[in-house]
Formats: sequence, structure tokens, C-alpha cells
Amino acid sequence: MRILLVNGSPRRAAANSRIVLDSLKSRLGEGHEYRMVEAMSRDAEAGDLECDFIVLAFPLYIDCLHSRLLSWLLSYEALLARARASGGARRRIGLIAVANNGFHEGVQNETALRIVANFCARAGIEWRGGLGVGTGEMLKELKGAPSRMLIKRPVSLALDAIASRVGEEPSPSGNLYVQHAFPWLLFKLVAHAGWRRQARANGLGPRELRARPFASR
Amino acid sequence: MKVFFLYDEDEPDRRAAGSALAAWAEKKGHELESACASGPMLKPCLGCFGCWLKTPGRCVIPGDRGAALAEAFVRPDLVVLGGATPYGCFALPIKAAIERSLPIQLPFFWRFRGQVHHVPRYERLPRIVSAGFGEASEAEDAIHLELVRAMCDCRAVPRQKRSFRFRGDGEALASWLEEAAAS
Repeated sequence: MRILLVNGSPRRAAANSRIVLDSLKSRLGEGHEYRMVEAMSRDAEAGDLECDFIVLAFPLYIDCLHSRLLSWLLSYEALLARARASGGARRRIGLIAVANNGFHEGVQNETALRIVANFCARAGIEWRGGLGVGTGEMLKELKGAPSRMLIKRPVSLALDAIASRVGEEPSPSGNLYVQHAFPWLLFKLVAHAGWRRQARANGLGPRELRARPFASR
Repeated sequence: MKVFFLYDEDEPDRRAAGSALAAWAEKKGHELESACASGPMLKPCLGCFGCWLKTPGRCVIPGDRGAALAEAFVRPDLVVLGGATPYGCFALPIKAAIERSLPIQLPFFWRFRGQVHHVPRYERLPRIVSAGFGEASEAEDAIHLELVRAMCDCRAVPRQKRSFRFRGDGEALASWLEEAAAS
């Protein structure tokens, strides 16, 4: 299959979304032709239409997709419609999407995944479902850890499941939601300590961190 | 009450809605400010967390309207967004403006309405509602309402009660805004 890997993160190669794409690519294997797209860099091009499947990964951005990724989707829909209207082969294109967020719950990606499903409906692409991953920053922290490591295992299994939907045969189109096996309170403690540490490295104390430049005078 | 109307494109229907909003605001004694999100180019959010960890409360990106738009998401009592709703999302210029308002959140987490969110930076943030323009499917309208409600939860403000799509009826717009203002 010709598989288009679309990175919808402004952090590009350093993104958790990139880790997701690499992880899915390793699950899909070398028997396919891959084309990588950085949606932050450009809108869709004609070459992006030459695919059988799209694998989209993106971070949750203020509850949905980053505006540059939205722009890429809109341009893809328009390009595909023009190609089909001018008699281009009406090939079937399937799509799976993986959204990750920095909150704890994977289910907070639901709205964003339903937006992608609506894109598929408009563009005439087969929506094969999505995966919403909470505790997204842990993707980077645990990148080198074994898949079956206890904390990482739920996410690894979910990635296995969503990767299995890539193919020519119809597959389930429901969404999966998951987060690392890491308790919420501990997650909050570690995250807050991390923010404070980064702020201190920039010379900021607790009061400066909570500055309110637009407070009413 | 201070109202801020941010719309996506300078189109006849948005101007008609703006006039209806202005008439409603005058009748009710509200102060109204309006802006078009697709005016001078707005640079996209970089996801750099500079607004949290380098210049807390302010975006680090210089030279455009981003900082002014972030302030516009703090000072009013009610923010009315108006634009197309592609796939149920916000119109591109509106979404870009919303992203540049990330400085109004703190990096820290809390649980609110049963889910984890970033803590609002300010004690009180404006209520926020969104009116759709143009055509959309029922699925897109449903998702757009869920999206706006999620934004309301992020800001710890009352949720938008129902979808609204402007079809030229200024009275329907006023009535919908009255509901939002009363919540």
C-alpha cells in the first residue's frame, strides 16, 4: 500500500506525534511505500493524493486540531475533489488518526477525532477510526522503553489495535481512548514539578509564573 | 456588559450579524467591540510554551496582533465568535486567534467538571459562545457545540446552551445572545 504519514504537530520532528507515526510505521512494516508530510510546513500537494491510506497524528490544540493542520485538511479535500471531478481515478483512500494530549484522559481527544471523521465524510475518504492518547508527554519519556512495560502497555496495545485497521479490507471505525497506566495524582505532581523546574531555569519564581498582565487595573 | 465579537471574514452575512449585534448591544446598554480575525496575518502558534515558561501570560511571538487578541479573550464579559465551521471546527482565522490566546491559561492542571484542564490564569474569564455561518451538516453542528463547550470548561465559564447558525435573522441572534448573557 502507499501510505501517507501526516504529522500535524508544530513541534515537527521533535513531536510526540512523530513518535506515534514512527511507532505505527514500525508496526505496519517495510512492505509499504511511505510518504511523510509535515502539515505545519505546507498545504496539501498533488503528490499527497497518490496514496491508498492516510495515517494522521496530531496533538490536541485548544480542544481540537492546530489551525495549520486544519488548513492542510481543507486543502486536501479541495485537491481531491478537483482530481476526482477532472476524471482522476476514484481510488479508495482510508484514514486512521491518532490524537494525543497533555491531560490525563485519552477521551478528551474525542471531539478532535470526530472533526477528522467529518473531514473524511466531506472528502469521500473512508474513516477507519481513531485513537485518543492521554498523558501524551509520556510518549517521549517512554520512547525507548519496552512496549510491554506496565506503564506503557495500554498505549502499546492501543497502537497495535489502531495499526491493524490499516489495510484494504473494511475494519471497525469506532474510536479507542487510552492513557499510560500512571495515576492522575502522581501525573499531576510530576507535571507541576516539571513546569516549576523549567520556569526556574528561565529565572522565573512562583509569583512570576502566575503573572496576570491583563488583569484589570 | 462588555462584548467582543470576533468574526472570520468580511462577508455580507457577517456584517449583517455585526449590525444586529450592534443594535442589540445599544438596546441593552452593552459596550461592543468587533474585529475580523482574518485581517493582518496572524502567525501560527508554535507550541513552544514560551507564554507559560518565558514570558508568563504573554505570547513570545512578536510583530502581529496575537498579544492584542489574547487580551481580547480576557477583558470583556462575553466573547462572541462568528464564522464558518469546517468539519465542526472553527474557521481558520478564528482557530488561529484562539490558539494565540493560550497565555490566558496556566500550565498547571486541575479537575473541573470531571476532567483535567489547565488552570485559568485569571480569576474570571469571559463567557464564550460561537455562532456558525454558511452551511453545515447536523454532525458538524453537533461537534461544533461540543467543541465550544470544551472551551468553556477550559475557561471555567458557563457552557453554551445550544447551537446557533446565523441565517440573516437578527432577532434570532439577539434572542440567542440573551440566553448566553443570562447563563
